[in-house]
Amino acid sequence: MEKSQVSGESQGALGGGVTAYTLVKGGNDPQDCEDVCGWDTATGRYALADGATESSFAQEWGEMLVAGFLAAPRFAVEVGPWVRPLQRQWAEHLQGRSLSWFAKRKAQLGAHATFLGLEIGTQGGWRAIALGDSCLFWWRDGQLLEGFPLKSSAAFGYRPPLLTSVGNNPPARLTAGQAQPGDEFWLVSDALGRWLWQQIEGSRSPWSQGQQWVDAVAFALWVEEARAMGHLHNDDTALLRVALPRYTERVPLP
Amino acid sequence: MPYSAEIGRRHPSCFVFLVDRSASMADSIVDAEGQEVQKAIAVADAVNRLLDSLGQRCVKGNEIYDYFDVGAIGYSNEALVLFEGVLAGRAIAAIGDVYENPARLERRVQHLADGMGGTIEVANDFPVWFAPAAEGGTAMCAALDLAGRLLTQWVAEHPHSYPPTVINITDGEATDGDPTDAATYLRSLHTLDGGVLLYNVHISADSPQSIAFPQTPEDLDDPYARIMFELSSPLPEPARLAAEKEGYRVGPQSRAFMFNADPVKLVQFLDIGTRAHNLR
Repeated sequence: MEKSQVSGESQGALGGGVTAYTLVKGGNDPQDCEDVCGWDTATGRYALADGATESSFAQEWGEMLVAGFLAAPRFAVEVGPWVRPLQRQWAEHLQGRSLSWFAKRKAQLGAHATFLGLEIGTQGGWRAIALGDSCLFWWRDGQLLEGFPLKSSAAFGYRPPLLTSVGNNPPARLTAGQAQPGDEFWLVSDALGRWLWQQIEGSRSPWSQGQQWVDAVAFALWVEEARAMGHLHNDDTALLRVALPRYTERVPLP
Repeated sequence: MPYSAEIGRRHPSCFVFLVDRSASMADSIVDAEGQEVQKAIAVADAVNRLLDSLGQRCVKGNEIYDYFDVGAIGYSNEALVLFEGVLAGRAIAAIGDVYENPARLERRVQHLADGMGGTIEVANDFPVWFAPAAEGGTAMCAALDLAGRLLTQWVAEHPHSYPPTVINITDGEATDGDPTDAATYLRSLHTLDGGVLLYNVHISADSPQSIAFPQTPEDLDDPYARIMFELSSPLPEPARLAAEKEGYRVGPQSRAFMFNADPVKLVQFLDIGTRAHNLR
């Protein structure tokens, strides 16, 4: 798994590629960022998890969810079968740690995170699974083809469904489509997802803005300015951008 | 919009508890299990549990994030800072310092979800800061004065923070004068996000007659309850939503006040008053 935190990482060929940026909320240390991105070009899988602020060890749980999704033998269409082994792994992971009385009690309540996973096949067929308010935006030539799972800025609330490390999980949402060369997929955590929907609802073009995010520095500058202007919530912010190459002969998708 | 500031380590908020420890607090009240319990014990228990819940909200991994400052003032014949031990002499302290330094830890059995639809019993440590006390008068004016002095400094040091919340828990009238001026001064203190919030909860064995979050003094027959109504802040939006969720009927004019509360309602009131939806 390749992971990007605070700074950005990219990988690509022939006009396509993968770029990931994560930026911690203002006032927190970079290592406290609870948004986690990962991908595996061999399986065509991309994932983003957003650890819940109020739970303990949310970043580590997010990392485990992302790694688990990327490494699973099959694309997860149901939450239970792929999360239950991770829950067992999580319990073992915690048992091996020395925790104070207050940390132990909080940890018993579980770690929580939103999750968004995408798989793109070699022929462009794609499917996605989501639980919570991390969002997927599917673009073609600057036009939004689909937003998933939330469909408007008003759909973002304070209590999104979350994947928990203890107990039962709610059902996930699924979607699928057929991509073409040149399409882009943006996987984002809630602050950026809400902003993207607000732009679309206001007939502004977030796509054009997205073209300005040429590297981690440009993205970070934009995020900090948008936060300062009150346009973007001061929250951990993640963007995992997957651009399919325009020409695909003999070249595997990114 | 007031009361919308994000609460974080850079801009913590503040909770101050004012606890009546007068002689009448030795009287009995019926608790959630239907057992008679001294009011002082019910209140000490509720405040200890609330502090524990605030602390748990701030635990991240093995650390405690200082999202809040906390103060605790008791009053009987005079107003006194309640923290003891390592915290002795500190009127307001960061939640991390408070949570790591209870007077003692108490072992309790909890029933936690086992992940398969059942529960498992787990023995855990729970912190206790305050012991119950019941003697002397009801120096509520002195307690409000002390809170006013402490928060004058706090708001000056935290201009961008979500405003402090003061929760006054009492079973009777002030014996050291009219608390109106002290309460008015306290509510006049403000950060850029709004004025200090003053919650008042009056506990009593007469809970069938309880009135929660009244919208007008006409909702209250008791003259003393009307005074307490006037002392209390309008209920801010986040608390209004939380109260509605608990099944209380509230409106835009509702005050942060409950009259004739029993221990169950006291716990709900404390929870509503300390709900922080905007933790970042």
